[in-house]
Amino acid sequence: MNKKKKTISLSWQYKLSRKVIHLRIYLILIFIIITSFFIAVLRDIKIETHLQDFLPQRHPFIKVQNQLTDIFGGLNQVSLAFKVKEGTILNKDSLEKIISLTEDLYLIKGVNISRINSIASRHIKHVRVDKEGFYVERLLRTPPQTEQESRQLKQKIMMNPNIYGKMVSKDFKSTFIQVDFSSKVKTSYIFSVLRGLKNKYEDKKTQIFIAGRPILEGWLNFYLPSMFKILFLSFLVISVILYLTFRSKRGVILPLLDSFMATLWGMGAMKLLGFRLDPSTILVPFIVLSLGISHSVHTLKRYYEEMRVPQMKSKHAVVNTVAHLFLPGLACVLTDGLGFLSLILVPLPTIKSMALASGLGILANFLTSFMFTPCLLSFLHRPKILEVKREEQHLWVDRLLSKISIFSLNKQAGTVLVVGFMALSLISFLGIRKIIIGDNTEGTSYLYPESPYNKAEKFINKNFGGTNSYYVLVSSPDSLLKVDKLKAIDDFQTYLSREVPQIGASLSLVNAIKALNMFMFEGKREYFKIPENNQTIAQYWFLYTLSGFPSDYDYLVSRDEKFSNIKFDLRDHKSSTVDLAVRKTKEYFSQHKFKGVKFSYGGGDIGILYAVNQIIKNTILPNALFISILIFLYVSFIYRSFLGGVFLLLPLIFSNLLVFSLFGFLGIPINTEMLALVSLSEGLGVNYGIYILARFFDEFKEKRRTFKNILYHTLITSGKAVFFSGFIVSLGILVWVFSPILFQARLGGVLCLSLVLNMIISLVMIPVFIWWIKPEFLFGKVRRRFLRKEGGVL
Amino acid sequence: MRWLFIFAGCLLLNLGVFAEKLEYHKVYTPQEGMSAEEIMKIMYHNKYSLFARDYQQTGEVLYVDPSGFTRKRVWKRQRIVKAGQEGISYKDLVVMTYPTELKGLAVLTWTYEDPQKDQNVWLWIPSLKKVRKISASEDDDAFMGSDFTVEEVSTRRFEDESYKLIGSKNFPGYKFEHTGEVKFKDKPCFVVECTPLKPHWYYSKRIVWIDKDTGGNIFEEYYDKNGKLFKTLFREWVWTDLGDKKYPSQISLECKDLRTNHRTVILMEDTKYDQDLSEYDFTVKALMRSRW
Repeated sequence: MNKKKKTISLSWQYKLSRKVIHLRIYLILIFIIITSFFIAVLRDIKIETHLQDFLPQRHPFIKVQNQLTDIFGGLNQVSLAFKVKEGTILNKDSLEKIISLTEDLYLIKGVNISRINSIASRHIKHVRVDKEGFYVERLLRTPPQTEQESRQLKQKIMMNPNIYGKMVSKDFKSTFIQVDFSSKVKTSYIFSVLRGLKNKYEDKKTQIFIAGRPILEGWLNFYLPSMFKILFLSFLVISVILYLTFRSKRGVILPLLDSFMATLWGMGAMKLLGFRLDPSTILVPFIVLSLGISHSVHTLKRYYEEMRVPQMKSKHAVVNTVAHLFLPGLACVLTDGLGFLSLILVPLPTIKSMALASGLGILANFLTSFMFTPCLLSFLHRPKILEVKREEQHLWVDRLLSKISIFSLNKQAGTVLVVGFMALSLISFLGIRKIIIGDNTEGTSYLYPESPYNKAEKFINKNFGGTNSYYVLVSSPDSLLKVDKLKAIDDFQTYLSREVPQIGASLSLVNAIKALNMFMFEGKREYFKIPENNQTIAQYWFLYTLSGFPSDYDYLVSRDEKFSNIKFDLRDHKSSTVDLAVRKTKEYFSQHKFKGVKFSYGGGDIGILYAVNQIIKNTILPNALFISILIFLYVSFIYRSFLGGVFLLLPLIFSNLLVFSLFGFLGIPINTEMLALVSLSEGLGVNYGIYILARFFDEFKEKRRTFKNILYHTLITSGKAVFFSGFIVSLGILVWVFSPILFQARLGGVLCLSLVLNMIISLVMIPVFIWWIKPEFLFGKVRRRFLRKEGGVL
Repeated sequence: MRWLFIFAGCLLLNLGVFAEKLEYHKVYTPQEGMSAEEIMKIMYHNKYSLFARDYQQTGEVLYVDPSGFTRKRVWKRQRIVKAGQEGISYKDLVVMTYPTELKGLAVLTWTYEDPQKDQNVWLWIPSLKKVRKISASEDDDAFMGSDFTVEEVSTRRFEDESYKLIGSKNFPGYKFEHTGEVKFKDKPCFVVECTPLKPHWYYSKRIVWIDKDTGGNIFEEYYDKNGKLFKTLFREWVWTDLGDKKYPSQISLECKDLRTNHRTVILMEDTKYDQDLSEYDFTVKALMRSRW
């Protein structure tokens, strides 16, 4: 023990720890000042959803989308369905409600009045054609007063292919309304106003469904209080387990306090750098808190271990603890923190916020866990012997860890274990192949299938054209209202509608021109085509826009007629559908070239999802590799051995393979929020390994005679800390499975599983590998010592 | 006492004029003491130039979006007032002259005395050399793709609204965006509140400022169901001197949609009255001749 003390007291870590404790008052004051500063910074922090935060701005598709938004507006689009529970909508009461609802939509602040599509909208017309001419009238201005008028309305609807099955369901039980808001309008406002209208018009006879991106964001905001409750519950569970682990107030308060401080620092720094929190990154503070608690558990465990020596003073125990944990702690924090910070390269502001808050919070955690907590601990009186003993009263854990040490030394068991791991790894590749990037359900994977939002999406997609838009921008140096340009648009529109079965409806200015041409020729079907004369097209367009207000056709053609768009409504946004739509578009434009007209894709929900999915695909593996390389290099550097790096990397790769294969086997889609999982899973996983390996290193320096002895000591000290920190954090996170938000529940479940796997693998695999390979960086000195003494048993 | 009888007689005579329809080919102006209904009848009489036998003018429509981007359309308009002959109130012909690709596109409208009877409208499409009969635009449709509705320019009738006189006030002035000039500052006006009688209409009420001099509606404010102002409409009324008589005429209009910040300006030039236009020019046959 004396020699060990001597070795440590000569080390620079020891000198540094002594210095830290020497300056403890100043350090605590500095920590308090910095924390107060960040509290002030965070005082008015708001959780806001900004659509732009979810878009990779440099992606060509998002550039197209931004162009589309600038020219035509329309990204804040909401879909409503008005459904009657009995009978059809063709009765006075229901139609009166539809008219009134449409009127109310026109009155909402920030609504794009030219983009309210309802059967009662001012621009939805019925056209009657005869030999003399054609007659246009509002489809639904006032509800029909007689049975005959109702029948006439039904006829008008059935005759119009743009309305029947698209705006009115084929069973006449529901009608579809689309409404668009200015991109400046907050989604929380849209959500609350439309929910208000839903409450106003829903009754025993009527049901209203609302879907669309602003509504989804509104629901996520709506569930925030429940999310906070879950996080609070999680916090409580962690506190209780901390108490059960340490059986002391300091064992509960100190880990929570230092982790909380680090979280504040990280979030404060994020806010100072101009980033913000949104419902999908709200879990960030908890991630930092979890990692922080994990480090603090190691600090406290080591402290109590030092305190087993009866005459040990608190101050000295703290110095020893910091000296021992400084390097592994730094290794953990650097790999975790830099791992998260590497996500800053992901071109999504929401992920950047998460990367900054988490990365900086984790780096700050090094200071709070290995400086602030030790400084505070050094001021506290020596824990009573009873407290130290109580902390050690986890005999079942000791027995378990002891069994693990015996198991690890059994060559046969080890072989079975390693072969088993390898077999599982191979199987996990099958699961990984099945991983889906993006959504794999009709609705959103953020919420449960039975959530009101997903029910609404399902209903709308089943009965109408679809809620998922896909836009292609068409541009030309001069007017697009020319025969050849319109034919180019028409050809592509027809092609994609045929090739992608999920397309429920499509719209471009060609629809209007072809319909007008047919009306001019007595409604004959053979004239539903683009006329062959440029002047006729210009005159048709003028006539078409004659009864509309100046902004009524802005969604279709720019006022200088140089820009237009083709809109496809798709019935789902599954990853396979998104890929198919984009692939077919690419194929078409690689085979067809046009003069004087340019097609740019892809905007709308489908384009955005494709861009985001591509970002995830391009990011997830490099991010995992970056963290792995970081871990490998750092561990190799500390132990001056590449084998050391491999020792930590192998279990980590294995546990990650298993976790990600589960995504594939269970059909859990990977979306942007799951990027954090990679960093967190690797970070926490490697932490366990680093602490165990560091302890091995220390124990090998001791004069323990056998590897069994070394292994046993490592496992009941650091192994025990790993077990408890894993247990505390994973159980805390497991509470998330009760969240009303599916992605939080899934994240909680998968993260918990990942932590448990990482913990088990670190506790079992690292000893087996060490015993099998007997690496030079650990065994070198010992082997030499044993060779000198001849008789040592290894 | 004699003066009192004369005054009462004059008053009854005057009321008698307004108890029935105003006569064609006569100019009326609003007077102090008139009811809101009387003032509005005169306004409509002047709006549709029912004082003249015929008129023609050139109209230039400027569509100005919030960024300042402006589109232009030019039309030539002719109207013959039939004064109820064969049940027809007036016949109207609008021909597009600019831009080039729209040149010659023409719309002929016959408006009947009976407000229940629909207008007859024919459309001439020069590129197809076809005349098609079309339905009249609905009153709340846009007028020629502008911020004005059809009824604001051409179809709203006295019977469409109920009226309440708010009082006599001096008009505070209107800044005509097209030239930047402030127009009609301190002009004495009657202020009338008009409420539409049609259900589910696009406004809940409008406040109209009627110029006491010309009887023209120089400014209108449109309010939605929530009582929020969403549109303003300015008309510049002047007297057109024809030597032996003078007629009230509109020479410019500006409509601003406060929700979209888009505005439409209509500038009328070369207005000529009583030119003895031939009725033949207001027939489908003449339309097909495509003189423009």
